[in-house]
Amino acid sequence: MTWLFEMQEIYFSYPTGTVALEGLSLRIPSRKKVVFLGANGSGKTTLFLHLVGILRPQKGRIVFRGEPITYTRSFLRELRQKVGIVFQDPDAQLFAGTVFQEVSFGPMNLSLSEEEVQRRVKKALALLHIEQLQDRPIHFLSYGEKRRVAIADVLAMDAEVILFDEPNAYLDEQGKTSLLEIIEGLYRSGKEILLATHDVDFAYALADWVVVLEKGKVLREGPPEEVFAAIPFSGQSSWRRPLLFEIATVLREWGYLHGTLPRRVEEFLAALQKSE
Amino acid sequence: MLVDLLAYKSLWRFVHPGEKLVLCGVFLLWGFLPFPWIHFGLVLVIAFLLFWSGVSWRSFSKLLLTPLLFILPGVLVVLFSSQGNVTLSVQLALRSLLLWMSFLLVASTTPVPDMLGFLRNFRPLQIVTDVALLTYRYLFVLSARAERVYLAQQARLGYGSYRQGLQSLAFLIGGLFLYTFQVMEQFRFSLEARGCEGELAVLPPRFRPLCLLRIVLFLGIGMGGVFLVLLGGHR
Ligand SMILES: Nc1ncnc2c1ncn2[C@@H]1O[C@H](COP(=O)(O)OP(=O)(O)OP(=O)(O)O)[C@@H](O)[C@H]1O
Ligand SMILES: [Mg+2]
Repeated sequence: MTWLFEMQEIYFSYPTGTVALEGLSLRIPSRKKVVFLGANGSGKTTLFLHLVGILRPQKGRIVFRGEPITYTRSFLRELRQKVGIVFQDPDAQLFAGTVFQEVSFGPMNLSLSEEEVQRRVKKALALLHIEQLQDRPIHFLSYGEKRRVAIADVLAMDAEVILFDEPNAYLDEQGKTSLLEIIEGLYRSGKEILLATHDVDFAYALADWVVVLEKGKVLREGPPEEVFAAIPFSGQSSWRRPLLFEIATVLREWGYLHGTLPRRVEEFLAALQKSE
Repeated sequence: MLVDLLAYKSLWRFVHPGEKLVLCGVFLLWGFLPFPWIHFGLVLVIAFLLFWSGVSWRSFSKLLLTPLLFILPGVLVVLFSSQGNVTLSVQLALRSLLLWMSFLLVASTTPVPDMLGFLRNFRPLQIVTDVALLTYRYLFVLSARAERVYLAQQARLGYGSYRQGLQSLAFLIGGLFLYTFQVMEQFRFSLEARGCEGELAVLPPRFRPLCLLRIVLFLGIGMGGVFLVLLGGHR
């Protein structure tokens, strides 16, 4: 089996002296929605920046689909064409005059024809249901809308792997639900999804594979049922189980639920009704 | 910012900026020619054009406060130093108003990024327009940030006394500097991640095609003024 990414003994500290990754080793499987769980400052963003070759490990190496990342211009160019990242703070990503222009930035850098760029922008806007925003300037957008534009930015580049850095932060419940749908849709259309968050409930709704980070190291990794069942990790009290997971597990033990655990509230209710 | 808001809502937003710039240039030219009555007429014309392009009288009167702030003192100075020459003062006021309104006509019908996108066509200007675009964008990011921090401080009574207020303000400004550094680093990363190699290339803004007939007409009107002066018509 080839892995999407392999990281071996990665060390990275910022110029300020903060050690952000401390001997992190990790294998990320292909064709799974992978969620990175970690508290503030655990190194999620730093890790993601390594996966697109923006930060370079001070020790250790990173392999992308069996090929070690080399930091030459041509390799990085190709890597970034395949791996896109949606940044944590949309204000640090969006700069152009209008939404349409903003989304055109990535494809323009791929030296495509203007028609092709237009086509891609329109497609990305349509996928995120934000065509009506295309002539708006960024500063007239709500936070949720900025988030969508930030995602469209990366979609328009047609990357195969998309990294989402805390995409659910500051979104309301409806925003989170529609974000989940968007990500599921992208996954079904063949994109590889990697997502960082500290929200266990959001992670549980989405993940096929969970990696728990702590202080720049991997604390735990595996299928969600296994990882969440292991909470609280030995000696760690900072994590709680996802609410739905907790309830469903208990109900299954009591014989009210059968089979695989439900991931969404609707699934849960449907399963309960069936078992009645 | 009112002008910014008006520009995005303007009925002339998608009129080619080239046309607006030439028209503005013609008004400026006339403004420098010595015809007070024509200045008066042009002020009315621009007011009408502003109205036509979707600026309401209420917004217009709000906008008018700014130039009055600097035109009035100037006029008063002239009034006193010329021993009460009212005609001269009124002419000066009229001319200042005309020049200011010519700029307003462009500013309130063309969003800044659209204008920069247009100017970007002139290759040597590119670095300037790119920097200007980022400045424009981060002006809004930073002011929104400042507002949030200020409200949060106020909620915790950070501006209760003069001393406290000063301290809170210092924290606010310091925090903004720090935030700017952080955002700029992230921003650089996000450019790099999208394959940027030093140039902020995006699709050019989409305008209606340039109307040559109008350009010729505007230029003709401008030339007319020059001829009048050459013929000595103002004496
Ligand atoms: N540009 C930087 N300069 C110095 N230190 C940094 C920088 N960025 C992050 N750090 C530090 O590195 C560590 C890891 O940060 P990182 O941003 O990767 O964490 P994170 O898991 O993404 O956190 P969050 O949930 O807050 O986004 C933290 O201790 C942080 O303070
Ligand atoms: Mg982060």
